[in-house]
Amino acid sequence: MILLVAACGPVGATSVVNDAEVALIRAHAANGERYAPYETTKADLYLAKAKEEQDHARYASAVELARTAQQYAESAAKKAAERKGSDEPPPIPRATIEHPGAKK
Amino acid sequence: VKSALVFLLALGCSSVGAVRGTASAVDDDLRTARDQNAETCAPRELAVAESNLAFARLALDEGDSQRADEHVALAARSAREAVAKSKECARVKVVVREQAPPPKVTAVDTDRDGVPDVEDQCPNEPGPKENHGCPVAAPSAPPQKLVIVRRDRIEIRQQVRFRPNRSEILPSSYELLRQVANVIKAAPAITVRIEGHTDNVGKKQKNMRLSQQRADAVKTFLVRQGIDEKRLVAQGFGPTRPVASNATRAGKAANRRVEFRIVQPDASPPAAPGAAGTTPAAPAPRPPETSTPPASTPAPNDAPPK
Repeated sequence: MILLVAACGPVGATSVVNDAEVALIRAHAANGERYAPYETTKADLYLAKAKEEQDHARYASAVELARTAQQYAESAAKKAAERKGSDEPPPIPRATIEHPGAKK
Repeated sequence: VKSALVFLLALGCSSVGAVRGTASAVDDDLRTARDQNAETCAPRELAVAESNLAFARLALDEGDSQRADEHVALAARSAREAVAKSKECARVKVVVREQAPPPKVTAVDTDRDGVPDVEDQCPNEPGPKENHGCPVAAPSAPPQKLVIVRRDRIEIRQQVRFRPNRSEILPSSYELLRQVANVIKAAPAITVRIEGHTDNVGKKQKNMRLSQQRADAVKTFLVRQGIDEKRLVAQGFGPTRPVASNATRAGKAANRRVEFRIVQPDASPPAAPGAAGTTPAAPAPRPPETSTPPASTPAPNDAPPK
C-alpha cells in the first residue's frame, strides 16, 4: 500500500507533465512564438520548472506547474490559430481615448 | 559551534529577506511594465519576469533560498527589460477635445430670391438660380402687324370674327381689335366709322340688322379699350356694298367683313408711335383702291354672317 501511494506521485506527475508537453508541442506547431509569445513563453518556462521539480521529487509542485504550463500552452495554441486564421497583424499598442469633458 | 550555527541561521534569514525584498521590487517593476502595455510590446520579457518571480516564491516556500535568489535575479532583470522595452510603446493616449461649433453664417439675400448676394449677379432683382439670380426676360411675342393705317381707313389684316349668325366677337379677334384701338388712341383727332357688311345670303333685312349689331359690338369693344364713344360711329350696310362677287364662296367670304373708315382725317396723319403694327399714313402713297377690299381677308368659315 505504501509502495502504491509512493508510486502515484511520480506516475501522476509524469502523466501531467507529458500532457503539458503535448500541449506545448501543439502551441509551437501553431506558430505560438509569433502569434502568442507571452503564453508560449510562460508555457515553456512552467514546463521546464515542472520537470525541475519532478527531478527533485517534488511531485506536487511538478504537477501544479505542469498543469499551469498546459493551460498556457492551450491558450497559446488557440490564440495563434485565431490570429493566423484572421491573418491578424502583430498586435499594436492599445489606445485609450479620453474625453476631457465627458462625465466619468 | 553555537556561534557558527547562529551565523548561518542569520545569514539564511537575511538571504530570504533579501529575496523577498527583491521580489517586492520586481513586483513593482512588473506593475509598471503591465501599465505600459508590456504584454504587447515585451511579451517574452514580461513572461520570463512573471514566471521567475513565481518560481522564486515557490523556491522560498520550499526552503531553497539559493534557487529562489537565482529566480528572483532573473525576474528582476527581465522585469527591467520589460519596463524599458515597453516604455516606447506605452498605450497611446488620445485626448479628444470638444471643438466649438463653427459660427453660423447667414447668407445675405437682399432680393430674397433664394440666391445669396455673394452668388447673385443681380442682388437687387429677384431671379432664378439658373440665371445667376437675375430676372429672366419674359419671352415677348413679336409684335404682329395686324393693323395698317391708311389715309382714309384703318386696314386690318385679319377679319373680325363673330359667332355664326350672332354679333358676339370671338376671342381670337381681341388682339386685332386692341391694335385697332391703339391706332385710334394715337390719333385723337380722328373719328372712325365702323362698318358692318354681309354677303347676300338670306333676307336683306336680317342681314342689315346683323351687320349693324356686329358694328355695334365692335364699337362697344373699342369703347371698353378706352376710345371715346363720340369718336366712333357704327353702321351696318348689310349686303349693299359688296367688294367681291357673291356668286362664289370666296367672294361671299370677302363680303362678310368689318371695315374701319376714317371719316374725319386729322390734319396730320394718324401716326401711332406706340401702337403696334402701325405705319405712318401721310408719307405713304395712297394705296390703290382696287377690287381687293381694304380690310378683307376672307372671313373664316366658322363665322358666316348667318
